[in-house]
Amino acid sequence: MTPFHSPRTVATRAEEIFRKHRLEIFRQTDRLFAGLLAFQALAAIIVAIWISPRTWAGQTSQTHVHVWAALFLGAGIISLPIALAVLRPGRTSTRHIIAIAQMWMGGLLIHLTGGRIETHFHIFGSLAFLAFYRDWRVLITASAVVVVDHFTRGLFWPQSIFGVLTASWWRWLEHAGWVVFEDVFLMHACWLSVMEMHAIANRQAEVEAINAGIEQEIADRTGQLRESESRMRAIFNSAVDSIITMDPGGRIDSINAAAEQLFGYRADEIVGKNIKLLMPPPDQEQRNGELADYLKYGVKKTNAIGSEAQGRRKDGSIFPLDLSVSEFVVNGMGMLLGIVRDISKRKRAEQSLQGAAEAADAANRAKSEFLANMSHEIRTPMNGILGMTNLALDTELTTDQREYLDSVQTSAEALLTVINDILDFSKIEAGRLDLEEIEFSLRETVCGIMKTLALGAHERKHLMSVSCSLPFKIPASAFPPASCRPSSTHLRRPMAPPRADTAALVLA
Amino acid sequence: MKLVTGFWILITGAGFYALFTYANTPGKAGKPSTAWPADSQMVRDAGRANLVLAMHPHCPCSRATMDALAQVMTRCQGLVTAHVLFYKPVSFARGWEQTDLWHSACDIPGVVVLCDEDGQEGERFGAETSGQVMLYAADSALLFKGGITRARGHQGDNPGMETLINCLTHGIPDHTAWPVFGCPLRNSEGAPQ
Repeated sequence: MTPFHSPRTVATRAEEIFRKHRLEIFRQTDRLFAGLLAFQALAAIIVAIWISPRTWAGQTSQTHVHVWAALFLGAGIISLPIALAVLRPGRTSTRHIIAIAQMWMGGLLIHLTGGRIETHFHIFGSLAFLAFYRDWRVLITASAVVVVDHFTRGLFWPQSIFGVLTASWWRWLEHAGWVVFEDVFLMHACWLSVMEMHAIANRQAEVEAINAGIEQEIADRTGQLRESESRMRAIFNSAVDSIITMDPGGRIDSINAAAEQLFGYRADEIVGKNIKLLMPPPDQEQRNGELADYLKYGVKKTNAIGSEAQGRRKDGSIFPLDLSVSEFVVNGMGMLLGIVRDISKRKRAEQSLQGAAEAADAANRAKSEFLANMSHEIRTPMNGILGMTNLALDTELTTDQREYLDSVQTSAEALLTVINDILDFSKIEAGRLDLEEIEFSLRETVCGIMKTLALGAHERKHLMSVSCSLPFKIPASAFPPASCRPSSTHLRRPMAPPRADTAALVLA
Repeated sequence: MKLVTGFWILITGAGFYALFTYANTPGKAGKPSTAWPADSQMVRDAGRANLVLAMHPHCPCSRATMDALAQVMTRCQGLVTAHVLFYKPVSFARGWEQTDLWHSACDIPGVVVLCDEDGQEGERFGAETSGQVMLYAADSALLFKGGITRARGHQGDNPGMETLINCLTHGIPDHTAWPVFGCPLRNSEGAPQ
């Protein structure tokens, strides 16, 4: 709530308006009477010259006293009030002196017209004119002049007063009664007028208060809008990405600081120009078409959104960019918001990664070739070892020798399996592994593994056994080694007392 | 400001005082004849009262007297014959005396208008000032003398007129010399007549 809304302030303002209005009325009426008094003085001269131009004594004549009175007394009467109306308009003393002068002018005119009863209407007319001041005190002053006039003339020239020396003595009371009668009505009218002025002033003060409140509200809202706009402008300009707004025709409406920096144009250089200026020629027509499609069909029917394109800087250099376009509406008109991001670094990184990946692929291929070659080269002697071992086993051997050769044969076969696995991995990496489903004996496989582990277990004084629940044949891939190799993860030794260890076989 | 206002009131008041003094200063009362002059050239109406009014035809103050005479003649219709003598110097051209006052007098019923050459007739009746009224009864006795206005050129009720009407209606003489407000019928003293 603004200060203007408080009742006390409104009342003070109303009083101020009332005083100003009343002062203006006083001044206007002062000016009115200044002219009126001058006119009456002129009329008095004309009346004197017309009615009593000369006074006679037998055959001789001279200018009548009334002519001189109209000239000099009339001028004397109007001199001070006119001077005050010009120099001190609106003052209380001015209007009271004007009231006195007006009534005196009435007296002069009545006298110059020989006391014609019609001229007495001047008194009543003067009171009505004085009521223009809307100040009843002025009427009191004017009426007091009439009273003083009658009193003074009664004192010096009693025969000049109605009724003093005549039978109709009450006629002066009748005169006074008519003046009082008019005064009462005029004073009442003045009072009503002043009340009306108060009411008008109150209404005006209230209207002003309301207007002031509205203006304050507008100022507050404007300030909020300005602050909001400033905030949005700050966000707009501090955005890392370049932001460009444009109208449906592709004419640039605004760009932010990031866009200025990215494209090398100042806002005042680029605003109002077509967006094509920021695109290299190959992209211009394509993007124009896409924008047109966007505006025509909406976001779902164009590929102008979130696409990569090329931008052109002020210096003519071309760079890759990521462009996202969306639509917004201002005052019923669709506008386009483009968010542009320089993707030069990303492009360079992508190119670098692609090179590294290609190098890694080459290295991997070299490794695979090496493994394949190495496996192939090892497998030949391993076949020799296995062959010779088999030949040795066919000969007469002691039990220990046979057992040793069996172990050699088993280990050689395991090594050969590892080599085959390496070859299989190479095939996998090369994408040339063919899977085949065949049956194999899990028990035999486990027993074979246990043979390779038996020596170590014996040294550690561990017992090894195979559960009879293992199936003899299970369907599996013809590539079991990866699933049945003994390892720390597949064959775990629980924390149990010596000689009572159990091992779990996990089929993976 | 108060000093200026006081001076203004004083000066203007003095002007009004001088004006009122002039307006309320009567002319010479003259010495009206107590009976209808024997050498009068006017024909007296023996059947009723006769009123003689001496007027200067150019006296602006006498318009009020003419209005008062009209009232008297209206209110006392049939009781009186009025004789209005308009002063005219012999040397002046004929018609000089026929002013608006002359025509106003002619318009009043019961009024006889006469041109008084050099004011001789008025002098016979002892009139000195324009507006001088003398009322004679049917038997020629003077009933009223003086003016019938309250000030110079001022219309309206006044004691002189009321007294004149009273004399006419009741036939009672009044010996008051009512002030006469008007221009002198003769030249100023010292000036050639």
